[in-house]
Amino acid sequence: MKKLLTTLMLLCATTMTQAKTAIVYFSVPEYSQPADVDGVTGASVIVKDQQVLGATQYLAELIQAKTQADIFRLETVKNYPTEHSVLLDIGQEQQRKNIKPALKSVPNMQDYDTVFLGFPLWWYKLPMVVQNFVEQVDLSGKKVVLFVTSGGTGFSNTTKQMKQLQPKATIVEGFHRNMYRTTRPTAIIENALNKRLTELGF
Amino acid sequence: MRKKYIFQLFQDLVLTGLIIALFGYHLFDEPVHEWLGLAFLGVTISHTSLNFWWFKKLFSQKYNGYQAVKTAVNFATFLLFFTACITGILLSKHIFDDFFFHSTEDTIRKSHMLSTHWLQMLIGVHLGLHWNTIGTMLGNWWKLDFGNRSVRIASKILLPIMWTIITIYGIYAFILRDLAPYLLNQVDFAFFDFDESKTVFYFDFFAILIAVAYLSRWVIAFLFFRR
Repeated sequence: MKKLLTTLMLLCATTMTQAKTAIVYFSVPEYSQPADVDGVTGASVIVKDQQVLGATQYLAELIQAKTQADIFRLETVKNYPTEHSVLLDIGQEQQRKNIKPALKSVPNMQDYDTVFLGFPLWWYKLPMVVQNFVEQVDLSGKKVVLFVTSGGTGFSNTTKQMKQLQPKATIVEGFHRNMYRTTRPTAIIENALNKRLTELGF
Repeated sequence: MRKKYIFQLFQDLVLTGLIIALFGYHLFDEPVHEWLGLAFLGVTISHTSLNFWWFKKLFSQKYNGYQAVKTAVNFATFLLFFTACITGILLSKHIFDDFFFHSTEDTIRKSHMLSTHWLQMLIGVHLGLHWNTIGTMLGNWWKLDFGNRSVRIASKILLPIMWTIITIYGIYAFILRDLAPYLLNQVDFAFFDFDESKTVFYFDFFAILIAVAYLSRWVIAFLFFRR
């Protein structure tokens, strides 16, 4: 009996302290050979420890390091091209024609109360793959912290879009950065992100 | 005054409103920006047709410095306008969306930003070149008596003070909004504040236009009409 109680209590304790924060992100590291580019327009890629990361992926991993949250990458059945101009075209075409690319899997958000949602800003909107994910999950009552990488404007229409798609969720404009002029991890970005996370209570 | 001139003044006011509204890409939905662009094209065609006499005298008139500057500014304005229209139609996502020429290219997008921002500057200069003419036309239309003391005070003191204040504010708005990089082709993706006040935005762009126009007016007066 005592053993059972202890087990139960332990179970309770672990459930309570379990990570209730998730990070869901979508990222396309443009250009397959980033050695060729250095701060070229549109290169949303970061090379860290000789590893090629998408700009949003880079931010997602930094957030993970600080928050210890569970991390999920949104992956499509059909890969996006990594060439900048082709990607621009496809990204816009999907938005114009309301094409929702199929996801390999939809991460379950049920157990989380805070979700960090990261994506590159495409034509001032959510990439359709991200919209597809948001439409398939219920984020009601959850805090959704957006983090966005872009070439110009920050959250733009995405905050409004998120509020329309998930009216019962609390949408927070978390962190935005222009990442297309650099291909290297920088202390400035990391410090700014950490400061913002502290402000948000992490 | 002839009805045609009154119509033209009104039309130019509409054009001014349109160019300012066009800069507020983010203040309304995208299709609004595209339709405004088409409207701007339409009214510009009308503006040019009604001033067709200008083309007629292009080859017959004698050119002094002032005429040369005017002609050069008009041609530059036309070229920028033409570039802005073509790139705008290529980039269009709603009106001309599925046409074979639809483009998402970086170069086209950057050319659109570069040409439109220069167009605003050149339209300002263009307005500055016609500043006195417009003033005289309005005076005739409203049958103002420039011998009258209060009319003189208004036109020689109050109005210049008002335009000077707007000009100073326009320069301030230009700097605050960091618009110089757009003129230097340094912007890859435009920055838009989707939450800003529409009134402030439109007034800022109006003030920038007035600043360029009013400064041009004085530069022209200094260069060519010194007594």
